[in-house]
Amino acid sequence: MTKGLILAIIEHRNNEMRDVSWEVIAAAKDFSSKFDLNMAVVLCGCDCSDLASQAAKCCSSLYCLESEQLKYYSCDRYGAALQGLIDKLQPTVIVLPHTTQGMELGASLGGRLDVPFLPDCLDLFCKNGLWIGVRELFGGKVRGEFQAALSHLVIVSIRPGRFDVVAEESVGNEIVSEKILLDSTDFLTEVLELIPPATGGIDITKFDIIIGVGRGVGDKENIGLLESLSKIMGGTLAATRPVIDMGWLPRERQVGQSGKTVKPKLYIACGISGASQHIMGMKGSMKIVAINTDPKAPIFNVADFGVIGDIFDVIPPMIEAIKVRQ
Amino acid sequence: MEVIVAIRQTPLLDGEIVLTADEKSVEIEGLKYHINEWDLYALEEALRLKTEIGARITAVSVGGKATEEAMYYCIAAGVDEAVLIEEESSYQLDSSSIATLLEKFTSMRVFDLFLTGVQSEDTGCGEVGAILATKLCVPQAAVVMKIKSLNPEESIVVQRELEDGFSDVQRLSLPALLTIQTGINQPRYVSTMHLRKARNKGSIMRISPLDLSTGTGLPAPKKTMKRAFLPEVGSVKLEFIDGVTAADKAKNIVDRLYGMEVL
Repeated sequence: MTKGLILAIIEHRNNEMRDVSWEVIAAAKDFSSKFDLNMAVVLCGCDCSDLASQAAKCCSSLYCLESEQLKYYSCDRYGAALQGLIDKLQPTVIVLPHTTQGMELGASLGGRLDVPFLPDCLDLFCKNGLWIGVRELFGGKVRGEFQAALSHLVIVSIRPGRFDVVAEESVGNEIVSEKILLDSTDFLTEVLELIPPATGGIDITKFDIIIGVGRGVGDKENIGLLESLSKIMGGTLAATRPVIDMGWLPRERQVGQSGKTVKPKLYIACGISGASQHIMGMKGSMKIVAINTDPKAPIFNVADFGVIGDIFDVIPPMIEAIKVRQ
Repeated sequence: MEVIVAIRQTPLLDGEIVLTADEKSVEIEGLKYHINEWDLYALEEALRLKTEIGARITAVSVGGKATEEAMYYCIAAGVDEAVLIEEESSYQLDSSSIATLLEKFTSMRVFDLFLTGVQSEDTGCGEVGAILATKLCVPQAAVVMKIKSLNPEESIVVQRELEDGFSDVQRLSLPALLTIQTGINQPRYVSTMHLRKARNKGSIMRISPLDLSTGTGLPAPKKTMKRAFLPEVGSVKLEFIDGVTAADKAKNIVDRLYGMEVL
């Protein structure tokens, strides 16, 4: 009986390979050995032979699908380009990173091919020929095992940061380049531009001490208290997405998946529950203190010190205690 | 211009989380609900189009009796039509089934723009929009942070939020589907008075899934949750700071931080 195949779709942007690509290759290697599958990796792009060479160092089989139409990512173009390869290779599992691109592409491919998609998985296993993805629910408070319906193919996206990066030099790695015939008239979308990050303003990544403001702060006016703490510590304020969305702090202070990644000496998470998107942006901090009334808040999964209490009861005495020492 | 917004109600998990007896799911009996946060932003974006260009807004949801409240909210907020695809067991439906029901509903309508939130607070799959767009064969853009321009009946230009501070700008022909990211706007405040009026006078169009399908019942899910569990919170390195009062804990953490020379 022929071995099945796991196909990993890697990701790049602005002519740079994204870190998640190495993670997804590591995950694919892990799954291929665990589930006895062959493995292949695919990269879509335009004039991307450099990226292909980079990627090929870590895998034995890389497909590089090229077209002018693939210069920028769009769901329809990538879907059209991948369709041919999927038809040819008949993979059993397709794995991608759970990013803005991966989550859309995975769901779209699932819809297009009428197969199950297991998004944002922390782990994957196979029981009696059925694929099961372990996923978070309710911002990480609950986990569930999701079983995909019986199908010849299952699409899986993996949680960024969950799988270790394996930097391995494979021998005999093969790049199969294919020019895909796509015309702009085939599509009802057009990518007009890719906008790089804005420069200027405050760079919170430069600070040794960061006070993270979460929804627990309650209201814009209350941020003054955290500002005082930040000032006396010589740090700066950062915030979770909801605080930024409500306009309580400017977007340049957002820490998380769609904001900045920070690695200060000290991160004090104030009234932050610890949704995965935020944790992604601060878990690399040297020391993490989390102040929260809920001892089960997922933030405690990454904290070194947990202070169970209301930030409005805890922070004023903290400020006093620091003043005494200064 | 016709705009459809898909709304999902999610249970509020405040306080202790209880699993069902069979440990397959979270016990939702007795929980309060609210409209999924992302969908509130999508709703607001639709209502802005109503204000700016006189678009006609239809809110649609798949749910049971509890979802009526969400529909009344949408009516109070200003939608022209609220449609409830009635299914008590909707909480067991997966994204694919919901997308299929929405597809059947939408294909009976003429629309220019379909808006969904990026994902739901509870299951967080982020799939319904993408599957729906694919089934409807309309162009899609996910994680939209801004509608830059709109040429009604022709095309729309949107800015999409990507990682690491990047964004892109895409033009889509209409009809199109967008998944809306939080922070795109400031959802309006809906007063209790308007809500009360909506509950008393507002009318929800109710549709049975059987009216939508070819009569073979609910669409089969592409995935089902087999087991739910509460993960252990904490890690090897975690230490909870002692103290009877908040002030005690505050002093203790400051002492620890100075002790480690972090401060």
